Amino acid sequence: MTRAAAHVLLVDDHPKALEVFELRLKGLGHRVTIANNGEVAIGVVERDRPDLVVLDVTMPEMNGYQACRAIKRIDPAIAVIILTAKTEAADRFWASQSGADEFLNKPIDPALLVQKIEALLGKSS
Amino acid sequence: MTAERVDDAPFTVGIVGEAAPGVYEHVLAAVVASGASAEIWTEANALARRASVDAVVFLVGSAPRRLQPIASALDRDPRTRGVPRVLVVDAATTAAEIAPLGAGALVLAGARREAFMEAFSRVTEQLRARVDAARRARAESAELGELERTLADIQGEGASLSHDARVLFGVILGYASNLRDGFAGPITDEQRRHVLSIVEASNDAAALLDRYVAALRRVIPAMSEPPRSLVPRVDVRREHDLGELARGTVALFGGVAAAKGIRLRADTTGVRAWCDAMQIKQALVNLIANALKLTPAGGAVDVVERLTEPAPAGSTARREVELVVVDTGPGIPAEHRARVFERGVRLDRDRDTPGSGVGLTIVRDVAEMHHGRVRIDEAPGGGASIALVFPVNLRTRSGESRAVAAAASASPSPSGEGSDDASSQRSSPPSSPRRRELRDFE
Repeated sequence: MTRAAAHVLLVDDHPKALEVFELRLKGLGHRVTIANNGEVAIGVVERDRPDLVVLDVTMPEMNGYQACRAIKRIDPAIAVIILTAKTEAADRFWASQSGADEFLNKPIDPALLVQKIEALLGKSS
Repeated sequence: MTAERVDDAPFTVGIVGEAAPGVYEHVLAAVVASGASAEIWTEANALARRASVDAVVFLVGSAPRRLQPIASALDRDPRTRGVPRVLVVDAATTAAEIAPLGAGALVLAGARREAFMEAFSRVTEQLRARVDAARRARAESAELGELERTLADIQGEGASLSHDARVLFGVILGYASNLRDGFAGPITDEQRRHVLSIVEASNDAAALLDRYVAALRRVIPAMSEPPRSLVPRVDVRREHDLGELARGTVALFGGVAAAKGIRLRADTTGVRAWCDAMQIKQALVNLIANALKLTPAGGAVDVVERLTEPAPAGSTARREVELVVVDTGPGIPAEHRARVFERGVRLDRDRDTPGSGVGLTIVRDVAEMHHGRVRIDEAPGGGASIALVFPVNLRTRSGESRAVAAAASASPSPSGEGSDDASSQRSSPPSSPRRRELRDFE
């Protein structure tokens, strides 16, 4: 682990998708907050300023790209990983347009996601 | 009107000209016997009524010239040009007199009633055949439209299904990996072996889904055609560092290139140009994605930027910048170079590579909106070299007013950089997985 007790915000409208990552991140000593949509996520970011946000794209109301832009406007230092089942080059492009630091596809081995998270946290610390 | 009729309403025949009462009687009897209704015209109302009938009878009699304006009017109007004509002529009528009245069935005024009957039954047959053909054409067109909608639905459902299944495979993979790594408690070697199989199978299943969606796109390329308005906004109000744009775009593909064993790099010098950064990136994304798709492992993809020589004093030539993506793939044969810009066109040899044939069309659209062009050459190693060429200082040239006007009318955001505004629907990607715009970058 690059640094202990980082605060990671996981955002997905699929509770099971969150649970697998939550279990592992908590097991590694990170603090985890979960949000089921973009609006809630932005509220958490404004209030708690997590170190990193993992964002799903396809969510009701506000999609992940929009949420990412809003988060980066609040605090550009917060690292954002877009984690989506959308696999096309366009999605990668939109992710970069919205300021995301990393673009990953579902399904993903949680071990790999944790690696990416810790790499980004290491970079920013 | 005959050309568009698909209904079963009786045909109407317009009758105009002079004839002896007996001839009139034969004509009317024949029209009625053929199941049509007759409309008697005067020379005065014939012009106004001409478009409402399915066939015309010219009673030529002794005054063929008086019918000529009516025949000419029928010929000039595309609605009536093909309307069948029956010419009732005297034995004394000459060919020169008949010719201006157009082609039609000739019946001698003195003929027996059967001759009139026969002429009209032929006209009716002709009309029925037309109605049937129009009806068939309409039905086929409706069927094709229906088929097209069905295929589009299948493709949309396929993409949506693939997305949802990937999410679920993510859950399976997530739980299985947590078990594997001991996050759900200790695990025996035998249990680990089983869990590894679950992980592997869910990864394989996700890859299969990708193939399914790619196959759907190959089979139905036209369905993934984006509207040309996909890239509607050109904003040349800012000067951008093209090197930075190129490096930023190249960085997006670092992972893909590494996974394929391709050396991808941007060799840039920092030329600055007035352009719409978002669109230039969009074009580069397409070019790089294409190059990476077609370049074999061990190959290279380079993005270079060049500035043309300054024009000599007095010349009206514009100084241009070229953003070139060069690969070591199979290249694009000279004979196909013009064709690859057409929407949906893919070379036969690329059939097994995923893609919709839309990418280069987007690049061309972006180039055109920057008053530029796309040039395809052969790279020194035989690969493709595709250059997006546009004026470096679009702002001060004739294109400026048009481009800026287009930007002003198309962009809802007064901030200039609409793409940074999350509230701008135009620049925000749509949430709905059924929207097709997102396919456009491949």
